[in-house]
Amino acid sequence: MAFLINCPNCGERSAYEFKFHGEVKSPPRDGSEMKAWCDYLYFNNNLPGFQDELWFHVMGCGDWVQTRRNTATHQIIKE
Amino acid sequence: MRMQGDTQIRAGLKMEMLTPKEIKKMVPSLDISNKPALPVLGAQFHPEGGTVHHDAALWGFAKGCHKYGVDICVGVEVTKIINEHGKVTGVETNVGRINAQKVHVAVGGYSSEIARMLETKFPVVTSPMQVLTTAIMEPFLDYYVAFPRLHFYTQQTLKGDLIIGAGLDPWQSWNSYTSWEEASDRAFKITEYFPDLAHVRVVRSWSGLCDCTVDSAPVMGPSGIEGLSLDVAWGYYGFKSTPACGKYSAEYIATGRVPEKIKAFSLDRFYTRNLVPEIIL
Repeated sequence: MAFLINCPNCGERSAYEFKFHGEVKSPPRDGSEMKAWCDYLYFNNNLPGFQDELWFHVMGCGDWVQTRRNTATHQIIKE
Repeated sequence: MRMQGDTQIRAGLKMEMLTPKEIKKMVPSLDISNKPALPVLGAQFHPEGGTVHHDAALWGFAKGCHKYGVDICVGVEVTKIINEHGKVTGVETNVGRINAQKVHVAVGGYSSEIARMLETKFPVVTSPMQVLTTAIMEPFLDYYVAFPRLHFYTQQTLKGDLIIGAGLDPWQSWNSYTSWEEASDRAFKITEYFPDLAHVRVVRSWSGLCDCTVDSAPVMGPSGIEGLSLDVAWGYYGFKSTPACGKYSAEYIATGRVPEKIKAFSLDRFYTRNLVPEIIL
């Protein structure tokens, strides 16, 4: 059940060309406690459903792509 | 490999280093020539190791549970964990409330669903690990053979088919699917080292959800909430770890003291940044 990711530079490419970075998270503000940084780095929503996530086009243009993908069905919302 | 072997010996395991010729005597179907892109240079042999049929192991545990008066409630779904004033006092289920002094979480790849019930997060990403089996053959493989660096292993079951595992597509997914890319990757590798298998058919493939941490180590022991203990984030290590999980989880649940053996797997290691440094697989 591989899926295609729409790279703005390269077009629709196989997901295997990308490195999955993970769900989009907001980093803590500068000067935040270490606990907030550890939460941000290690702890995930890990949702079985639609989430915003980042991919790095490692076998392509080297750009970052953000998708809104359903992790249970692999459907990607086209924006 | 020698360093890994030394670590295993220090942990009390018997381990022998084998040369390619010695391996060939034990696994005649293995190609030890220079033909593969990465030729076999040596192996570690664990003489006390073995394989067990997963269904048999599971039913063995079920029998043991029954013997000790444990109720296994099939089809009962936990819908809520009752967390009153910072203490867990039971669960809500689809058949009603079950009060409990202690609640233990051991749900495999679905651990983040439990985290959501507790309004928290776990340090895991869920992804399916894929395995395939072949057609049945005459017995020819006496040992479980693993190539850790190439992420594949195989064993011949009592039925005669080969189980060939295992791989994860490199992204988060809650879908237990199997992919052509993963299967063909393992098919390529197995035929590199077992060329006689080239014409054997793949019969079945499946996958199971694994909750993986960044340091490939589980989370065991306290959850930070009184009355709730954890045994999660076992990732792709499989049911072979379950006897140890059961033993040390039971000790923690019964005594409230974290056994020495599982101290390294505490949840708060992600805050103290004492991540487990050695990746086993």
